[in-house]
Amino acid sequence: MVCGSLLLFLQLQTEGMSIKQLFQKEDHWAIWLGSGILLVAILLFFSAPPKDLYKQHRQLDDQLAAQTTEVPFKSIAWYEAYDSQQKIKGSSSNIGKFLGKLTSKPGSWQYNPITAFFQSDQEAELKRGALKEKFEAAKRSVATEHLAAEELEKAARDQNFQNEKLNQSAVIAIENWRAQKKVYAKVAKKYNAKAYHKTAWLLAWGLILALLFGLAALVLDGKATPFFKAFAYVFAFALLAYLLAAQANMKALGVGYAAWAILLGLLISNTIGTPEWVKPALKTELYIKTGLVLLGAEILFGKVLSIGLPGIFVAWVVTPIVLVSTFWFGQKVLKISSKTLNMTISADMSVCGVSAAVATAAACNAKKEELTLAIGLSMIFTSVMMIVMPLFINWMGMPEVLGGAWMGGTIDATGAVVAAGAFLGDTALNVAATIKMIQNILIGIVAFGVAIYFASKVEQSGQTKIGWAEIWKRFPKFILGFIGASIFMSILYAFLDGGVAYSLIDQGVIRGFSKNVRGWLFCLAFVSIGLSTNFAILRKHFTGGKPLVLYLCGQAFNLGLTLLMAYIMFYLVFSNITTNL
Amino acid sequence: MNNRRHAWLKLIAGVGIFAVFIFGIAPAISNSDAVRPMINFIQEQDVDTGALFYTESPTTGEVEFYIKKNQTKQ
Repeated sequence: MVCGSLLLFLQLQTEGMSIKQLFQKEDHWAIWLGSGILLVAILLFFSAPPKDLYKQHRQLDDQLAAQTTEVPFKSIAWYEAYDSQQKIKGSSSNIGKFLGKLTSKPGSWQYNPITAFFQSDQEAELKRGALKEKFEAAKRSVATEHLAAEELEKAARDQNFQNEKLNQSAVIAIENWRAQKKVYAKVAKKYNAKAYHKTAWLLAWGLILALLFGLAALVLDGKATPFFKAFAYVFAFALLAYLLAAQANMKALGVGYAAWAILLGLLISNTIGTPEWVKPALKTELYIKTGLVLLGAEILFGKVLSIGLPGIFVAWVVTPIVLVSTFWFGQKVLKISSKTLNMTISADMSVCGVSAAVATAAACNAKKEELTLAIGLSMIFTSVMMIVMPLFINWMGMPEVLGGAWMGGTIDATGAVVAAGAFLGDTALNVAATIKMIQNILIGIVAFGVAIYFASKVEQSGQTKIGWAEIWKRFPKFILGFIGASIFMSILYAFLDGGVAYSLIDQGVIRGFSKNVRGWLFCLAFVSIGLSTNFAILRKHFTGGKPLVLYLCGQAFNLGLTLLMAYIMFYLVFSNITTNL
Repeated sequence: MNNRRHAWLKLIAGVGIFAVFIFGIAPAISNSDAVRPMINFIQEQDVDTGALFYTESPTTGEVEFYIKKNQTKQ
């Protein structure tokens, strides 16, 4: 955010703009709002961290180090210290819990949508009662496995860990205990059902968003009253989109809020029509760009190096090749007339689905119908691939590492990657999720590159050569906030002690707050897109099914190249890393 | 007036299609032999398949933490 502000200052200097002019464009407001939200989150999480944060991390780090030196495998004490350290989260502090509730979404439901908003003490008690037996059984199993692991670890320890057979038995027993503990944690989460009432929180959150964006509307449009009335309508549909996405069947099939937000908007605009009075709140660009500045904060470059070398090659070599090839294929072979549609679908398919589509579409100034098409294609194929790929990998008897790498590099959305990876096994999950995380980080570079490319190459088509000043003028300025937030948070993350960065940045500012806000802003943007999109125009962009062909051909290439690269990296180049996974 | 009524009828039909999809088609897909194991697994593990970015999935946080600590262990 500091970088964003500095770069805006640069704009003041180079373009001779007045300070007032820095509040007259949506791009600028996106930077101010996004930076402001991040700044408030940082202040709140850092001013009220979890108790004894530094001391706790230091002690647990020491315990982990001591166990590492003392025991040749991951001991029970090592895992206990590991679990304790993992639980130190900014989101678990008082302020974290408050912000979590404030920005929460409707909860899961099966048949009765009211349960997404409200659960009484009696209902919670009923749920606990139904799960009591399962919970107690899981608890007993954990205790039994823990005891067995303790005995075997002791036996290995008594031999000073010199007996390889005893060491191996202890490792197996500890792994069994961990597996059982995982099952127990899932059951316990459901068993610990508590009463909740989300309505007041949701209304408060709607009001805060209305005030923030109402301020922008006041400056940009000169009046805020029409915005407030209209915002209530858009927010209600965003809420409905979240509610439908939380339905058990939808959650399982991966039909998320983005799809519902667009579908609900399309349904209204193409039947009874979007009321005229709602239009002041259809600020698609402002919601998306503010959300993207917040997304920038989630792109922490330091993470990439720390989470796996082979994955970097799979994600960062294949992704740009597929992106450029698909774009080229769309232009030269399919002859797609809209370069922005071509680029949005190419990025959507090769990088990470909806979030990449949103970032790229904003960077190249794609039409909302083009973004809708890209999101639609991504969501359909993500659901299909999430189910088909693990089944195919199992049927082929492919190793977990290779299967995980393949899915992580090709399935668009993170949630689907996690589901498909976990279905294959823990190793597949670790590899798949790591590759997807690394690929997610790439989104910043892709968006920046696309913005530069479109400002300097595409938009000058048919004109005489343009200079840097003109490129700068055409460059979407919100990208500065996006990249600035990423750089600032990456530096902050790198400078803080590892454990503290994990607790306050990763599990505090980002996962405890900013990603929730960003989700709401994207949801509002998708509702706005749906409410202002006409089916006839949407159909026009789909003429000849070229976007579908582009997606299919690009994805086929992506599947082949990712599998090849995963094999080379995990089995030929970094095979020593693979054996330890 | 007729146009208005027609528009409302289209809206009701649309809502009906959504309801059929949520409570009819989606469960039918989920219960088919090929898909059921995966869906059961997702529901049992409570995976949020709708997570778009890595920060939206708590599992990615756990994986990242595990990998970092695992590297120090190795």
